[in-house]
Amino acid sequence: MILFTIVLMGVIVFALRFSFFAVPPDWRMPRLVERALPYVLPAVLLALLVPGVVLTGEGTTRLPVYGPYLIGVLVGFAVGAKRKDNFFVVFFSSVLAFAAARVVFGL
Amino acid sequence: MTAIQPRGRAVELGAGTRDVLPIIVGAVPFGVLFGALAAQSGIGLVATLLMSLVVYSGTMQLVGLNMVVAATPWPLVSLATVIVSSRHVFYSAALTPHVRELPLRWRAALSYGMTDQIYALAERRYAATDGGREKHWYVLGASATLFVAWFAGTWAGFGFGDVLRSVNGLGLDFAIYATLVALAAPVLDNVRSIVAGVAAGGVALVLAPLPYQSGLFVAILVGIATGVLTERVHPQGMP
Repeated sequence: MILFTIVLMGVIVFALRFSFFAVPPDWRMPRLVERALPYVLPAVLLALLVPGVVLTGEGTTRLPVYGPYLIGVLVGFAVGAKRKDNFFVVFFSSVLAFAAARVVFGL
Repeated sequence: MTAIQPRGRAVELGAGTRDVLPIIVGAVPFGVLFGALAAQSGIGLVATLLMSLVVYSGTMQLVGLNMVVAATPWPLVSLATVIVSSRHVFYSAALTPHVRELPLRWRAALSYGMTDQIYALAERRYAATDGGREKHWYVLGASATLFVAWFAGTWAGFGFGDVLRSVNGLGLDFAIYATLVALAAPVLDNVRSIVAGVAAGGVALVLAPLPYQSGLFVAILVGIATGVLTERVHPQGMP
């Protein structure tokens, strides 16, 4: 029964991921959906990012809230504002700021 | 990631494999954690690896593991799966204009590996205006590499979980957030996208206590709607 349930979970996840990919090539999206698509990525990224930075995996607030996670993210965005098309520069700036903040905070 | 020339299949494949490496740094400890928890739960190696093989979704695997161990009836597990994974419908909708001409086997393969991070990488690659016609190879390279790392991490966690779980104390999970920042920086280039992102992030934070990350779907929906509504004040074409 465990294996059946796992396979069922997999089928559902795949169906959701495949949903719009399954429509015929000549199908056209409603205008409203097309207008909404540019906002999917910023909405998804910050919906994943904000709770992850502010809260721990157990759902409690990270302490201190101005600690390494927030500093790393803010530095990343600051660098990203200038070098937004350079993925690795933004990534490593953020990681380095996080690492430095961990040392400063003694974590 | 920043190249703007059209690229061939091999180059796209290699670029996808390279660009996913920072994501792997953050994802593998999560896979190890899942493997270690699965080993402790007693569901066995076959069920553990099957979950990473067919479900292939970190959040859903952790939720599913708890439900399977608790002998939750399959209809309830199915309902939880729909709630937790519903955001993937957005990814599918957003990428459809880019993949609609691909053969069915390609669309199926890309769907299988469409995790949160792979979607973001794919969206970024498809947004590049270099006229490339082989970008699906980029997505394939990234998703295949991430899958292998995830599967290996799960297996390692099952076998050596007690030892490997100690890496969580090193803060490697921050690599995931640094990746999200690096992916978000280029798309937050206008007021509408910033408003959409801030709205989604705020709602996600407020709804974070809801079980199984079910608030994520609502948060993303609110963010998208806010972005569309903001067009009335800041029409497209304005910064």
